[in-house]
Amino acid sequence: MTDYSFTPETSVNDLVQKWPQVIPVFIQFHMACVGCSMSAFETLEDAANIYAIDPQLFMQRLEEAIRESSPAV
Amino acid sequence: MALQKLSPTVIEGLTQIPLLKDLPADLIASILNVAQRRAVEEGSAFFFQGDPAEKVYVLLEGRVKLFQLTPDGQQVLLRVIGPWSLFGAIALAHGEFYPVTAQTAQNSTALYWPVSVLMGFINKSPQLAMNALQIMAGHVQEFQDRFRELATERVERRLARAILRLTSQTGKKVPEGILLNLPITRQDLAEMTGTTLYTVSRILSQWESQGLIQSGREKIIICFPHGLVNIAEDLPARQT
Repeated sequence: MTDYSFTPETSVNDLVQKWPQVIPVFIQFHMACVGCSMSAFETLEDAANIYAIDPQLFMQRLEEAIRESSPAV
Repeated sequence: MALQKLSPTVIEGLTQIPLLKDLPADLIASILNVAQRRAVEEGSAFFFQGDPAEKVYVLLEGRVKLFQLTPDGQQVLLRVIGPWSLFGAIALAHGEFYPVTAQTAQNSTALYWPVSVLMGFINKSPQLAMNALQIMAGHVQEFQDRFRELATERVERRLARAILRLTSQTGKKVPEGILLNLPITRQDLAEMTGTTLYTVSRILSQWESQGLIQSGREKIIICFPHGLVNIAEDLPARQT
């Protein structure tokens, strides 16, 4: 079974490295995180706060992006 | 040049230009009456840097680039002007030589006055003198703004980039933010970014007061990385 576990404390860089399919979510929210040299130091919660995005909504979209692109289990 | 050679539209346009603003109609007519016209093809110049500054121009049509050449031949574009702009005005302020080259970016036409002729009118009209003064003050203002950008904003970006680069290579998460885990002096940063120790110190102090960083002797902590990335990358302002 695929491990979908990531938390608001996961760093942006870890998430993007592990699941590149989340990149469009960052772009849709007009976030400059992808490729940013600081993404290893910022958590998903930090990023949502910086861009004034509802953290719950953000986490939900990221999760959806991963589920949709993963093979059915 | 006879005034009647100018079309009514051109005369109407000329009465609106800052140099002739608020002047009595008969004075405007006299000034335009002695103006001469000169057409310059694209890529040629009305005057070159170092030429004797003997004429004052108003562009009627076209586009003119004002630039300076550095001693090693590098071209520095100072401004690009369009119709109704005054150029070569340095001649009025006893400038001996034009400090810039006025090269046409399109086929252009300008009116011009020998400086002695225009000075004759200025001596009789304080309003005309004031108009010329206001135009020059506007240029000073513009170049002060440009100077500030060159002197501060660009170095800020260079410095932000250097710090981010170093941090991404050696950064370490600490409770206050991200520690630049490398003994680096302000002099090192100045040399990396092609600026002076004084400038680096000033910018770091400014960032510190904005809460972007904490800095100490050979130590920098980035407290708000996104703020520094904003400066380094010139990100568009967020729409909220």
